[in-house]
Amino acid sequence: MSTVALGLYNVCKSFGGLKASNNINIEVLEHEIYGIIGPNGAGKTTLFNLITGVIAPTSGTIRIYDKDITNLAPDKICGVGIARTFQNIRLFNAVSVLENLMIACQQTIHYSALDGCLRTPRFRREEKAAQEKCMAILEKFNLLQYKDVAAGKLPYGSQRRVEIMRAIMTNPRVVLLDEPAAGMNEEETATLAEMIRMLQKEYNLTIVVIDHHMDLIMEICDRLTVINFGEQLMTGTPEQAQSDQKVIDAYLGVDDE
Amino acid sequence: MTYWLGVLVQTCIYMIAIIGVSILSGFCGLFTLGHAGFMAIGAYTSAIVVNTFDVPIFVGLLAGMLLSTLLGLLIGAPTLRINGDYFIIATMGIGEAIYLLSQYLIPVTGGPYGYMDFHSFRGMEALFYVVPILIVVIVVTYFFIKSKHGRNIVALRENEMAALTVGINVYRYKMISMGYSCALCGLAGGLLAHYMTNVNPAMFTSTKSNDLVIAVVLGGRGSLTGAIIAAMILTPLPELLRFSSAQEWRLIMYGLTIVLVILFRPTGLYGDREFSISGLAKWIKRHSQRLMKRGEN
Ligand SMILES: Nc1ncnc2c1ncn2[C@@H]1O[C@H](COP(=O)(O)OP(=O)(O)OP(=O)(O)O)[C@@H](O)[C@H]1O
Ligand SMILES: [Mg+2]
Repeated sequence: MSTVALGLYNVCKSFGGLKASNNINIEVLEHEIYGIIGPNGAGKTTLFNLITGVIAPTSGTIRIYDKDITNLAPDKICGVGIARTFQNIRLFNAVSVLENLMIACQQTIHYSALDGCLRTPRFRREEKAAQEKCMAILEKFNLLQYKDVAAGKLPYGSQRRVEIMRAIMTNPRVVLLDEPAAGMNEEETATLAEMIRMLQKEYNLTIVVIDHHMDLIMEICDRLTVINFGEQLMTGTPEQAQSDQKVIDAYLGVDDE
Repeated sequence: MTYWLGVLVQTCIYMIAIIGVSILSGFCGLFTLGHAGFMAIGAYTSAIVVNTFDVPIFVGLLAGMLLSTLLGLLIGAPTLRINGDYFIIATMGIGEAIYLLSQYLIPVTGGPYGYMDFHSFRGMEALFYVVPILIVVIVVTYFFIKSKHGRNIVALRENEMAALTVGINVYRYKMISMGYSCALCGLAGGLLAHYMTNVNPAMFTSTKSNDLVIAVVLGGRGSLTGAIIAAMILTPLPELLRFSSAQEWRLIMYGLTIVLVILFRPTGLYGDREFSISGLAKWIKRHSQRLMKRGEN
């Protein structure tokens, strides 16, 4: 049996009267690519916000490997090994692509402010190492020619890729991707699927993907969870989801009797 | 010391303060309307320490920097935890409070007439203090903003949520920016005290606080070069206008300049770029090519 990389146990979150997450139980295994799907407003992004500490759960426990991260601050949770991208891209727009990635190298660069102000050998060594790491991933993503361009000026698809790279640069164990294929056509989505698989292998990651592109989810995910109105409808393989009556009803919309 | 050397010294001193405010308001994106207050703390502290304990001027300057930084962190600790608007109001309040205290705490500050008769710079001595200090401030600040810690500050200005999720302790870096700006403003205040030979409340009004932020906006948010150029333009301006007996027009000129910058160069004179030799070379090359093309036609 393989280890659980990310676990949500009886997680609930209410916004006033609205139950955005109602008793969610998910165990994502190490090195899995895991899907989270559901109609608009189902509570998918809310789950990512709960995991990354952006909002606190009303009740329940969240673990990464053996560590309870339920009430940790977002910057601490990053240190534990969770990275994410955002549904509505959040880059450091005015800053170059390379610097966006350098900023994410918090775990690679440890020198003090004094080292920085005096440009000590330690500063030079760690900056060089971080820069090499960033250049390597830029090359892998074919974005090397954009390294000095302000991130906000890139086309939409490239911005999404920069955000994924930035997540990787934090040395995560688990990466959460919130609608990485949003706004992409079929061809771009196929390339993205390829890239997500490559990343998983290359960096030994566990990946959780939210997306509305069913072909992407069905193709890359080992298992998935379907959510509707904050409720966990089912958890299983993509094939099981496709033949599950409750899931079909949720997507097609069935009148309550 | 001649009149123009005096203008030069003042320009250098204000440049130090403007660079400080640039870190806080330009790089970190936290606006302040009270940093003249921190200059006042530096000025009074340095003057009083030098006078009372009969120590060299640089000891007074260090004491002023230290007290100004501590006070800044004290103000920042509660207000930087919450949303930015409270911080602006807090800086405004502290600036005003320091101004009023300096007026009414007569036994300590000398009140409206000011604190005087303390050991000050003699003749050219001011230049020998101010210029090397300014150079160190510029170099250290440049290295700072080009390091991980400077990048973190820009990151939280650009997108606080994203900064948090890549592991940046946003609160800590806001405090660092606040401390850095207060240290430099305290230092500038101290230098000003020993140059002017008199410290009085009128030197640190809210107008002075506004001038500091205006200089940063004018120079370009997030550009050290911009802050330096803005200081070179704005500090001597009132002195130049003095001769045209147009002192009253100063504020109107300021206002007009700001409106023009916002209209035509919303990112400030230097945007968020820095001056570099290679950048200059590129610029010259681009423009000379354009000129050559024009010549060919
Ligand atoms: N911070 C918040 N405060 C109040 N309500 C919120 C908050 N965040 C989300 N909600 C509500 O919770 C519900 C779930 O939102 P969520 O963003 O998780 O949906 P989603 O599944 O990601 O949808 P989509 O596919 O459109 O991205 C929505 O009704 C939303 O309005
Ligand atoms: Mg969403």
